[in-house]
Amino acid sequence: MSESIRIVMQYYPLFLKGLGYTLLVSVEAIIIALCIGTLLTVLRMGGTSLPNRIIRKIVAVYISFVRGTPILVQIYLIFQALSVIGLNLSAFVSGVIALSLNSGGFMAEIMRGGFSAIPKGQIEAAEAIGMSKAKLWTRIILPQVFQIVAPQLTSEFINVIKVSPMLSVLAVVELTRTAERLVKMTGTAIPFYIAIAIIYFIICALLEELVKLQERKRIV
Amino acid sequence: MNQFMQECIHVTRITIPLLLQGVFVTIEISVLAIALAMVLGGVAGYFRISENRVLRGIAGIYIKIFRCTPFMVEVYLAYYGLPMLGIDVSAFWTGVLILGCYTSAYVAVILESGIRALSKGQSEAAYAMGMSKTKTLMRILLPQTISVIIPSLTGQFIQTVKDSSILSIITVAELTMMTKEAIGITFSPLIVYMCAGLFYWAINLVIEFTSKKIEKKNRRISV
Amino acid sequence: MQKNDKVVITVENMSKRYGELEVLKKIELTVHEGEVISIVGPSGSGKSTFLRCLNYLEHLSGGTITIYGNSLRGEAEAASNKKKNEATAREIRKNVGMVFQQFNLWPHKTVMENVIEGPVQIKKIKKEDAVKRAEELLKKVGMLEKKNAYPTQLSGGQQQRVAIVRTLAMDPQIILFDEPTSALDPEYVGEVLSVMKNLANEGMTMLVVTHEMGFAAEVADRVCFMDGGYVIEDGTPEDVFKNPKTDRARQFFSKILNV
Repeated sequence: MSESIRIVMQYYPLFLKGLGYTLLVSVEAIIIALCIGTLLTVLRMGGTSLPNRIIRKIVAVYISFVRGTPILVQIYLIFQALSVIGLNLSAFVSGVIALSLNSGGFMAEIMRGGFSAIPKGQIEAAEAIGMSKAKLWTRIILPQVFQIVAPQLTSEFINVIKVSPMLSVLAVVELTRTAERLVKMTGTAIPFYIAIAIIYFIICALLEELVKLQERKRIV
Repeated sequence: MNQFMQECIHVTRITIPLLLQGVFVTIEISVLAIALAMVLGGVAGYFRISENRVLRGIAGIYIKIFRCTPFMVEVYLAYYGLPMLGIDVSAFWTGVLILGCYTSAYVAVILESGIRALSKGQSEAAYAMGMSKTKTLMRILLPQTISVIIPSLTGQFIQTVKDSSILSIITVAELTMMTKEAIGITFSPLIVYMCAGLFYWAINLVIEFTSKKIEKKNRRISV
Repeated sequence: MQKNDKVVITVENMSKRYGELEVLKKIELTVHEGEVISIVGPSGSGKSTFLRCLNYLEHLSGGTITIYGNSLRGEAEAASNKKKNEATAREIRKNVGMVFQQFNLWPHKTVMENVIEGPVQIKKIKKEDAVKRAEELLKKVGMLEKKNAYPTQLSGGQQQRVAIVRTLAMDPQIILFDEPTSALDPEYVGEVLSVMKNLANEGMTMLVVTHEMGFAAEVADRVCFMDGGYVIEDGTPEDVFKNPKTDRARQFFSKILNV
C-alpha cells in the first residue's frame, strides 16, 4: 500500500501536467460545443420555407449520427478525415475538434429542451414591440435558454471530462495517457489507474454538487 | 473519380464481412452487459428507495463511484485488477462485467427517480389494504414506472452499445476492434471508419425504433 | 342502524410529532361497532393525520390505538415499538379499509383489476370468486358497465365509487374516509355521498374526515370537531352543530353553516 503511494507520488508532476491537459481539452471542447449547439439550435428554429426545412433535416441527421455512434469512432473518423482533406493538425487540436463536434450535438438537444420551456407569448410580445430577429434571439430567447439549461450544461461538461480519456488513442498526453505511459514504463498498473480514477472522481463529484446547486436555484 | 469509386468498392468488399463479425460481438456483449446492468441496477435502485439508511448509503457510494469516473479508466482497472483479485476471465467477460457494472449505476438512478416520481398515494392505497412492501413494489409501483422510464432506459442502452467500443482497448473483438483489423488489411482508415460508424448508427436506430414502438403501445394502455 | 356496545376502536392519549412540531395532542376516542363518525375542523387541524394514524400510514408518537384488540403504541416512547407496530399494522389493515381524497386508483390496471387486486393477492381468494364478488359490488354503485375501463377514462366521481368498491372487496369491518369528496367537481359529490350513505345504513363502521356538513348532520351518529391538534368537541351532530361548548367551534360553524 505505502509502496503504491510512494510510486505514484514519485511521478506527481507528470500527473499534474496530464490533469492540466485534461482540463484544457475539456474546457476548450465545451466552449466550442456551446457555440455549435447554439448555432444548431438557431438553424433548427427557422420557418417552414423549403431551405429552412432542408437545413432542419441536415441538422437532425447530424445530431442523430453524433448521438448514435461511439465517440471513439468519431475521434478516429475526424482525425482521418482532417488528414485526408489535407489538414495535418496536431492530435491535440484534432481531438478538441472531435469532442466539440460530438458535444455540440448533445448540446443542441439540451438547448431545444430549454427553448421549448419558454412561453411562446414572450416571443410574440417581443415581435409586437418591433424587435428584430437578432435582438429577439440575443436579448430574449438565448439568455433564458441558458438559465433554464444551466444544470444540464454542467452535466454535459462532466460528460466531456469523462470521455476526454479517449483522446489518449490519438496520443494526446492527458491524464489517462500519462497513466498509460507510466504503466508501460514501470510495469505496475493498478496504483496509477487508481490514482487517476480518484482525480477524475473528485472533479466529477464536485461538478455534480454544482449541478444539484443549480437545480435547487432554478426551482426557487 | 472512377478510380476512387473502385477503391471504395474494393475496400468495402473486404471490410464488411469483418465488421459484421464485430457487429455480432458488439450486440452480444451489449445484451449481456445490459442484462447484468438490469439485475445490479435493480438491486441498487431497490436499495436507494429502501428505508434502511445503511443500504441506501452503500448503493449511493456504488452509484457515485461508477458514475464519477471515466469508463475507460474503469476498463483498465478491471483489466489489470480482476486477475490480481484472483478472477481470471477472458477479455470478453471482463468487458461484460465492467460494462454491466458501469451501466447498472445509471439504470439504478433511472429506476430510483422513476419510482420517486409516482404519487405517494399509489403505494399508500396498497399499504392501506395490507399489501406488503415487496408486493407493492412489484405489482403497483414498478409496472407504472417501467412505462414512464422506457425513453431514459433506451437512451442508456444506446449509450451502452456506444461504450462497448471502448472495450477494443483490451482487445475484445467487437466492432471497433474489427475496424482496426480491417484497416490493417485495406489501409483505408477513412472508408472503414465510416462503415463502422454506419453500423453503430444502424444498431442504435433499431433500438430507438423498437423502444418508440413499445412506448406507443404502453401509452395506449396507461394514459 | 343496529348499534351495539361493542367497542372496536379505542384511542388513548395519542400524540403525533414531526420533530418539534406537535400536530396531534392527547387524542381520546372510542368507537362502537356500526357507528358513523364525522371528523370536521379547519384545515391544518390534524384531522387527516389523525385518520392516517389509525391504519399506520402515519406513525403515532405517543399513546395507544387499539383496533379489534390489536394495539399500536407510541414510537417516541420505546424504540422497539416501531417493529411491533409494523406487525400490528398488518393485522389492523385486514379489518380497516381506507378511501382517499385523490382516489389513488392504480392507473395501469382496469377497474376490475383494481378491485380484485387485494382479494386475489392478499386474501388469496380464487380469481373467479373475486371477480363475481367485484361484479356484485360494482353493480351496487352503478359502475358495472365500466369494469374494463382504465381509471383515467373515468370522471372523478366514478373513480371514487370504484375506489370505495376496491376497499369493500376486502370485506373490512371499518372504513376510513379521508376527505372523499374534496377533490371532486361539485356535480359528482352527490353520487359519492349517496354510496357512503347506503354503507352507513347497512351498518358499516365509518370514520369520515369531511367538509360536507350536510352529510355529517344527516348521516353521522357523532361529530368530532378538531382544532390545533386537539379533539375539542365530541357529540351528536345536533349538539355539536347547534350547541357547541367552545367558542372556537361556534366561530367555525357559524362561518360554514351560514354560507
